Amino acid sequence: MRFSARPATIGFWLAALALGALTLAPKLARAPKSTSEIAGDATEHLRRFLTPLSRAPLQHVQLKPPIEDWSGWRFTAGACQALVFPSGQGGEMTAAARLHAGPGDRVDFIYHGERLAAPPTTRIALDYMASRVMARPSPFYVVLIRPAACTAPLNLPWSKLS
Amino acid sequence: MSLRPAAVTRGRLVAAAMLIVMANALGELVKAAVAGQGFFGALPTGLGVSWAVWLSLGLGVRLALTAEPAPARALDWMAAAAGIALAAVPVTGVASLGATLIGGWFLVDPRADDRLKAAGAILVALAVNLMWSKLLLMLFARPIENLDAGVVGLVRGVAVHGNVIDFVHGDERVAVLSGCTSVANASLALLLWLAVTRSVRPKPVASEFGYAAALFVTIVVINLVRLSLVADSRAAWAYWHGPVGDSVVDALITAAAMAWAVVGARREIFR
Repeated sequence: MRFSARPATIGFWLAALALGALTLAPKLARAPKSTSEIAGDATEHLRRFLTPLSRAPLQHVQLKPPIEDWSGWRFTAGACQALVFPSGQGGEMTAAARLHAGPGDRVDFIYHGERLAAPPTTRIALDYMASRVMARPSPFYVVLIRPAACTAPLNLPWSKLS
Repeated sequence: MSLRPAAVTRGRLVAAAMLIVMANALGELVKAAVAGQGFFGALPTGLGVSWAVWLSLGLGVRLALTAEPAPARALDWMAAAAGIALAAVPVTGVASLGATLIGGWFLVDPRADDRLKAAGAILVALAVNLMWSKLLLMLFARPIENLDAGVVGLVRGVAVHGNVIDFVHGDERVAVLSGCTSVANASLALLLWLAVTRSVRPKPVASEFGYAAALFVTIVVINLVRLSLVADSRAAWAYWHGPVGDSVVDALITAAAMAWAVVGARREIFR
């Protein structure tokens, strides 16, 4: 490896150092959100959406197994109680959320107000990519667990959630 | 003191561009790790990044600085400027796009010498590890997580629910998330393997890909053993998922990558 102490070389490395510092400074000046904070944001987002719609006070439900502060809510719609969980970044909490469903329950997935029978894995992965590049909040879909015979939770204005 | 673009070699330009875009790609991660664990707390796991990444970056810069001292061309300056402009966007994920652009240019440029191409390959591999593999993993995470969980369930004889495994002892469960999968760990190991191999043998040979495959299998085995230990109990999860367990697994992955790189390039290393 050869290092030259010529003025042009020194000038080049000083310019590179200055450019590195200038480009890095705005990133270091802001505080990126931790996974725990992102999880908290999603749970809080759901709470604010459901609070005026639920016929009974919301109950906080810890995801089992407990994963990095991801949690959901038990709410009342019509004559039945239902559970909602945020999917996690990319939907990785879905299996854990599904474990909360009993034998008579049905699991639906809601993304951008649309009710889906299966998790929107590809859509959320693409949206996650866009969120990383455009500095938007991480997207999540809702895992909705309700008694199979009760459709009232589906009739909430889910499109207003996104 | 003057800055004359004509006096800058291609190698110096690549080295400087690598350092600038990677500082932008890694800066926030380092800041978060140091803020959360303190400098010395974050040191064993590579300041929130992994030592494999730092070592790969160092080897890439060394390759660039030891390349043939040809003057940088206009297209080199344009590629470096575009990559650094992307890295300057105040969103960390975009810096990896800049790394991909700069590394990709020198990797495919037919006039670049082998050392410049090798430095370009390492820069692309760094971008793959930091961004592209994570994004690809999001598309295929569920089957990969479920596969790892399924194998651990078979090994430990416990029930598996998607990516969730029952602990062997106790009535709780544990979830295999994308960052814990064998594929995620293999991405890091392959980066280090590539960096070490290219640093001693800048020009690739066909036979070395067999060693890369062997490394992949080794990492899958290491990760499955780790996940099987994690699945024992909540206490085992806390240990193997904590700073000690992470450091041990990080060291094993690093050692495996180094070992397969040394075995694959033994003629160049021990001649």
